[in-house]
Amino acid sequence: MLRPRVIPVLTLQGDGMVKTTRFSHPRYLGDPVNALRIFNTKEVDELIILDIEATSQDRRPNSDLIRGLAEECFMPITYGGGVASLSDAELVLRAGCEKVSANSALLRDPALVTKLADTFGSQSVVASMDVSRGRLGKYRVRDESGPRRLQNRDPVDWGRELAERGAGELLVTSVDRDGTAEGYDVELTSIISREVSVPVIACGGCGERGDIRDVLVSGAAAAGVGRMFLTRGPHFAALVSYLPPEEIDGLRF
Amino acid sequence: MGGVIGIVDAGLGNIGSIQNMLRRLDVPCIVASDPIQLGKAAALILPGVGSFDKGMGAIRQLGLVEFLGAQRAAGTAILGICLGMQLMCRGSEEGDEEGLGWLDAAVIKFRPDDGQHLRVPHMGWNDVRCVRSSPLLDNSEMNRFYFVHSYHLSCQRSEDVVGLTAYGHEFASVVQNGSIYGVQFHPEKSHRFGMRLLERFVQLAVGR
Repeated sequence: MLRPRVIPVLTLQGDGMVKTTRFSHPRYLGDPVNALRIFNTKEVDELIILDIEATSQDRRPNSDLIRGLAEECFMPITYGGGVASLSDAELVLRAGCEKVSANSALLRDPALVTKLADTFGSQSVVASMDVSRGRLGKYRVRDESGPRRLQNRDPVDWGRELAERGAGELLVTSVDRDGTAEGYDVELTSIISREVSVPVIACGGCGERGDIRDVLVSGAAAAGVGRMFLTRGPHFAALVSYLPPEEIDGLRF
Repeated sequence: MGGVIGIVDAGLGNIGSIQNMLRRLDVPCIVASDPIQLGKAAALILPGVGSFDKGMGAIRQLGLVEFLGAQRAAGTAILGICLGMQLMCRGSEEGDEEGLGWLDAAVIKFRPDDGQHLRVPHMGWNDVRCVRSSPLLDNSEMNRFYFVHSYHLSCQRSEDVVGLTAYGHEFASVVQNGSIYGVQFHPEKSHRFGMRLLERFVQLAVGR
């Protein structure tokens, strides 16, 4: 049987690993290579690595850094951050990642997702979006790198468009829940995954194992986990952990 | 170069991961697209990610169809991974190109209505159930691997099927016909489970 997908999400600022809360207050957690080594010995099922500053600092993916990370891992890796063109994506995949994630660049050029899928296959293309609730309580897509952060874009429509244009998976991050350990935004996950046939990876808010189960029940194909697998306690003390295999098997419903 | 594994580089996917794992196993390998180079290898790995027609087109353009056929006829062990295995079949629903035709099998798409909650592609870790003995797998061990694919094999000859995996229904995830081996999953991304499988392939192929 297919095992529930539980995926550590490592967020980087350049070559340092950080954890944010609601996309602010990054706390430095150490060297990502060390974290990857530990995740590899724990036989983590998959990993997502996101450089959260690359686009706003106008940096392209760093091939040497990515290769160094990928060589530590015998599990599939998705890399995102600064991916704005076919050549950026090729660099990421050549450096040893299975999948490449794009986010801000797709808001400006939605056709890029089709180009990526046609060139590398849909299974290698993860379209990522950051979502928060606007003033009127409606979900809106955010553009972390743009001058106007909150886009007048509905995440369900955007998710459907990305999937139709060829995205193999959607990574949907709740900005409001990021780093809070308050649980996933299951409503958000549910309304998007209902509308698309591709897998949805939910991210943002995981604080305990039960949260993972809840988000999988709500329709997510996979649960992304940052803070809970990277830190311990209220002050974000760096500590890498993962769930034992039998606990992951136990998340089936 | 007796013990070298040749990885066929037809520009189809992440070859670095396979190299990385063979390096960890201390197995020398060459990565090449040219028959003369690949001809020096004791066994071949045919990796692949992407669409069927693109894969066959790439192999044909590099002049590898004849080369691979000759290697197979000579009894060289060849391991197809993911699309690499699918290319060994007669053809695929995914495209119009004729496959290598080494396996009497078709490649068909998962239908989303096959079962509840069935999302395509089949993506993630899943189990392989051995249905016959093979040098690649040991049924007494946990056989768990990383899969990502939308199409799967449908074998005419049940004796070619070594392992089955359930997703909606059971499909052939490990096959063998003579010196030809195929796996639908990615051993190079499947921790010790995949490393053990690659190690076994190397052992049977080059006697290491």
